[in-house]
Amino acid sequence: MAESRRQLVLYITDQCTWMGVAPDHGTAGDAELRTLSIGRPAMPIDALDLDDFARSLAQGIRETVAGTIRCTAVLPSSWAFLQLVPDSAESRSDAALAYELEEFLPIEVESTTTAAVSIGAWHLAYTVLTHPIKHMVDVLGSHGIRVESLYVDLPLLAASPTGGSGTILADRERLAVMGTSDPEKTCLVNSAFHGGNPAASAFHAALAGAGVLQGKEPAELLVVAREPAGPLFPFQKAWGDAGKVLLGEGAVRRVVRLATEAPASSNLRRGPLAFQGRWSEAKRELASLCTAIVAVLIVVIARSEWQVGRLASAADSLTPALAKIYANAMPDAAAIPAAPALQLRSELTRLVGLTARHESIDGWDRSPLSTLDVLREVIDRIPSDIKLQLQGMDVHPSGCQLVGRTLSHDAAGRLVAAVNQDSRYLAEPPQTKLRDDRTVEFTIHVRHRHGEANGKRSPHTQ
Amino acid sequence: MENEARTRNDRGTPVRLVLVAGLLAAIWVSQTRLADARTRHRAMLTRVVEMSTMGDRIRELRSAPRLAIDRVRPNDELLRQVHDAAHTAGIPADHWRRNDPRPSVRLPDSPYKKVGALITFDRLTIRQLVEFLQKLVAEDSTLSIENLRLTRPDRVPGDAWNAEVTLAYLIYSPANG
Repeated sequence: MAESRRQLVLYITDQCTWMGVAPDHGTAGDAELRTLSIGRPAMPIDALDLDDFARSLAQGIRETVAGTIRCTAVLPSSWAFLQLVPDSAESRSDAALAYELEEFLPIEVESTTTAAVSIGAWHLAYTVLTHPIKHMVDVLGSHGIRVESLYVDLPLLAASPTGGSGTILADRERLAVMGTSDPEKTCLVNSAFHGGNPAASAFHAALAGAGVLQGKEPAELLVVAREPAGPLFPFQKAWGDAGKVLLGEGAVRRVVRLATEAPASSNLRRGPLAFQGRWSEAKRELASLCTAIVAVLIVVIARSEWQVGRLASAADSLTPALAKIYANAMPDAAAIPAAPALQLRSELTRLVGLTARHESIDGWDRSPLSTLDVLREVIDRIPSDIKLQLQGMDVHPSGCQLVGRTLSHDAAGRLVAAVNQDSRYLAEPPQTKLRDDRTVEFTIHVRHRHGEANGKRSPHTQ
Repeated sequence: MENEARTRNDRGTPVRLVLVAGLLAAIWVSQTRLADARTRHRAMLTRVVEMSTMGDRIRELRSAPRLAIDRVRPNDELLRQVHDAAHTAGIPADHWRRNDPRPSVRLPDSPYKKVGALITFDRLTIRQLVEFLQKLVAEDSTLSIENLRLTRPDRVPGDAWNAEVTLAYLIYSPANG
């Protein structure tokens, strides 16, 4: 399979569907042609399952060409309503043209799309049903086949430079006739079924039934029958002497070439059938993406809101627990304050302050022993066999000072030694003085050793 | 009808884009709300744990012995405590000579003030003194005997002492409070 960058032309005839790859612009080559094996399209369009037909068409193309395909489609004139309308000095809008045709159309004009080509003093207007054609184009588009231009075969030929001289498009069942008897005045377009009757008389009867030509023969006969190599229609032979007969693929090539060169005004991709290009596809993809994103976002938002509700509910459920904790800690509180945690912290700080040990605070001596302990323990250390008389004691938690009298210096020394036997105390050598009455007055400083352990000395012992 | 359908289709994409933009804004709001809710929930959990811990500690400290008080003790209250303890120790009322309250002093770099009082007795026995002091501190754990000065009174025979007892206690009074 090859990926085509050139314009692909689908030429749907009553007989079969041709696929042509148009030659590059500016080249003189012929279109590459092949017929698509999709069966014979049913006619008229009302009897055709366009969905099935379009899928078959896409499959047939995909068997040959890969990738995104730009495509021009040429529809049979039997799918369109054709009508000649006089040319007008004022240019008509598509809507104006459609409503001008309304009286000739057997269907509502709102459900149709109309284009026109100018032929001499006339306009050849052609109208197709919008919905089925759009559906077919959309199906092709969904297979990556972008139908950028859409024509109807007979008006396409009519718009060609040779159209003015008259053309008959024929296949095995139908004659589509376009010609001008007087290029300045009139243009006659019509079609007739000859029912496959190959007799020349039938052909002429069909022509007469169509009410065309009026004795003047068209210049060109295009026979697009699928089997050009088969027996010629009698009229082909009869015509051959009068005008140009282009058979089979030659005729198709002609249509394919015209389709790639047709004026924009004859393109049916307008109005409701307008080709919206790559942006349209991008918009479709974007729309799909947006839809998916919207769905995901809605799910995310819903989940977030659910979580918000759940967390808020969980947080609210903790409020009674806080109140209970506060009430247990502060049983005398009349009400729960606005900031219970702050209140508890304040209360805790206060209680820590009221109950903490304060050994490290300057100016506050709370040693392991109290003043009473020191008094009791020092007195207990005084030996009973030493005769002494205490005159005064100055006691504090870090130690004491003893002042008294004894009989000798040695007795004072023994007193110090006795106190020092308790390793928790350190008694300094006594300060003694011999009195007039031969007694010895002593002063002894005793220090509790805990003051040495933490490097502090009580101001009382200094 | 086709025109309407196409018009609807043409409007669809911008509408979807606006919808997506709106939903993105809604997500931003929703995520902000979610973050706030998470923060609040976490804060509540933390607060419950914190308050529970503080509550346990508060109950524990309430039953712990006090080493300071949080107000200035009225002099009458201290005198009543001294009187009760002296009475229990069998110290005659006329042996209680003086009571000199001392002004409170802020202890440096601490939330405490120290308040003291000098109590003076005449002619006590050591036993009476010890019983008095034991009774005093047993009844009130915040009271501390800061200093005890004993001297022999002149011309008084036997076990008799003059005593100057310096009592002190702490007031918890943070400087910023």
